[in-house]
Amino acid sequence: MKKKSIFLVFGIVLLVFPHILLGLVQTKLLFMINLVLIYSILTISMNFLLAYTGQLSLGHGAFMAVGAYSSTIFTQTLGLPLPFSIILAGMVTGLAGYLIGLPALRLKGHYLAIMTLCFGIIIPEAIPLWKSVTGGFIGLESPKFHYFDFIFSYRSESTIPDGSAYYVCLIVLAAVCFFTSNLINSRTGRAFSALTGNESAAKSLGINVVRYKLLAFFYCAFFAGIAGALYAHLIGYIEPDQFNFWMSVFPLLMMFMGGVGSNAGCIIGAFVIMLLPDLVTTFVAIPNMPYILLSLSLILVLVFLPNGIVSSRPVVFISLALPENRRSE
Amino acid sequence: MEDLIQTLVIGITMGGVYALTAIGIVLLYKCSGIVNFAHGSISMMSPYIAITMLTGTFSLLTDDLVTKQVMPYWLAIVGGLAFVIVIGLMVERLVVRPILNRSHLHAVLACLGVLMFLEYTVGWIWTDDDRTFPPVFNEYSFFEIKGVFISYNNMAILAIVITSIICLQLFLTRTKFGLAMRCTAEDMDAAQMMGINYKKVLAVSWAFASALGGLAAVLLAPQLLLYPSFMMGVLIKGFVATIIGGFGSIYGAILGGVVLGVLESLLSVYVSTQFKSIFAFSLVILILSINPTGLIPERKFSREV
Repeated sequence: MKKKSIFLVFGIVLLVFPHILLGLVQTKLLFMINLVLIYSILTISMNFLLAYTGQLSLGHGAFMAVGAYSSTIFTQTLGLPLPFSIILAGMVTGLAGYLIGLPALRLKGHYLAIMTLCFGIIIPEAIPLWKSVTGGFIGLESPKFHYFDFIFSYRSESTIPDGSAYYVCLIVLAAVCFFTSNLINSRTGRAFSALTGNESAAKSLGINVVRYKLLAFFYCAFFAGIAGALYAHLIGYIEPDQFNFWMSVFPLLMMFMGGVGSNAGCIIGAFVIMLLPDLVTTFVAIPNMPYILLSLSLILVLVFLPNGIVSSRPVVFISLALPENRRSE
Repeated sequence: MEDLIQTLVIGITMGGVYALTAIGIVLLYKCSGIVNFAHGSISMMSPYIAITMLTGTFSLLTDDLVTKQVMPYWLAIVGGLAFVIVIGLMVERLVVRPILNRSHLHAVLACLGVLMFLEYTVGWIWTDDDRTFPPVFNEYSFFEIKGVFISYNNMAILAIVITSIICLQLFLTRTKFGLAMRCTAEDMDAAQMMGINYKKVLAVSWAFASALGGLAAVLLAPQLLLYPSFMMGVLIKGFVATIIGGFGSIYGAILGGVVLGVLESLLSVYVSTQFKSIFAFSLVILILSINPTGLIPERKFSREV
């Protein structure tokens, strides 16, 4: 009962949040919050792969690129409506994840990490080569969200695209959280967690290892692709350079900052890593200082809080309100 | 024919530098089980330090290189390498050793944190702009053998690479401490039971790896431009080389580096430079699909990320 009421309060705060924000400060912060939500989806997708099935992906930037480009192409050249094209982009990326899962089946540990890292570098390098479709190095323009503009109609500005995107991202994030936290308690989820331990033992229990590993890659790429599509429609244009190595590394940092194995941890990590540099910039004028502090805090968290920020006390309240998953040991 | 030999010479030179990076990665992996993503950024410090010692100033305008040299070239490079070794030891002591007993993924992440820290700190001290770094010999000095042009620089790079590989090999096979390092690489627990000071081995392997990386960075800096993340691409090429050669041995790393360098230069001359890096990374995926532990497989599989 208590948990339910916390959840309700939390939900209402989230719903009115952009209005408070727009009343107080400029819209740039709302844009950053949207980016945080998208990175949360990406981090949850990576967390899903690592904490539930024990596979590491360093190629999430590439998945995001595939999602962003396919959704943009679907809307711009094929003229599909936005929600439909986002889901379709997720499916296309899921297919890409399935294909990259095939060589990944036999790989373990750092071999898997480096293989996915290579995949993450190939895709942004390959995109400009297919110039007729992807627009080369110049990139593509993609349409922005305008579904929830009516909510902001009381304001003098006619449209606030970031406000619309906020609700879209929030809905998708909630759906992804709901899906992953329910999946882990299902038959499929138990099969996944059997894979984290001993593969041979899982096999002897009658779990089809190949099938479930590919399924895990499909799901994770699907979420990453949807995050990529949202990213494209939030920013409004995409170019290959956006999906560089750091796009793959940042979700990993967020996951470990917040806490591996929990969705709440992923979201908190995304918040800290995206907003901390901005916060520092307002106080310190030295160039690069925000990122120096960010990397220092990351190292400190890794050394002193092995289970991430979630494992420390003050955030227990927040984690209560979010659907909680299995923590990694 | 001359073209082919010319291409091979350039390829082998680049391959040697890749091999230096790859040896550093393999050395650390063998001794501590860590895939060191911070290797490139630790090495990147050495040309920056060297150029500052060379000119005696932090503002590295190109004119300064010609007009005021406060220190001989070789001394500046040695100073850079010494500094890089200190950085490597500090990273080992402050970041890696406290989390060594945890999952290796923690160590990988901590190395990524170190990578970010060093790159942004260098960007803060020396700014993010591109710099030029003076090569060992004049860029345009070369000699000719039967129509093949070989620059003194490439020769110097090859000589330095080969010398350092031989020195490392002699250290590992001829000294008692080298034996201890090889034992630790073979079986960490057994080595500890035989009374080998594991922490010392770890520190020395970090020092060696950082020095080799720093050397590779100093040799590469004149060819690539000097900017905070200029070793990132080389580091990933080093990973590719280790995958080609297998994470198992230093010989594998050397072989992988040279093979990668030669293939890359052949491809960029005879096909297109556009596909150079795509080719290298596709090669990794191809090799790993055929053989999941690289071309020369590791003997044991107990260490996992």
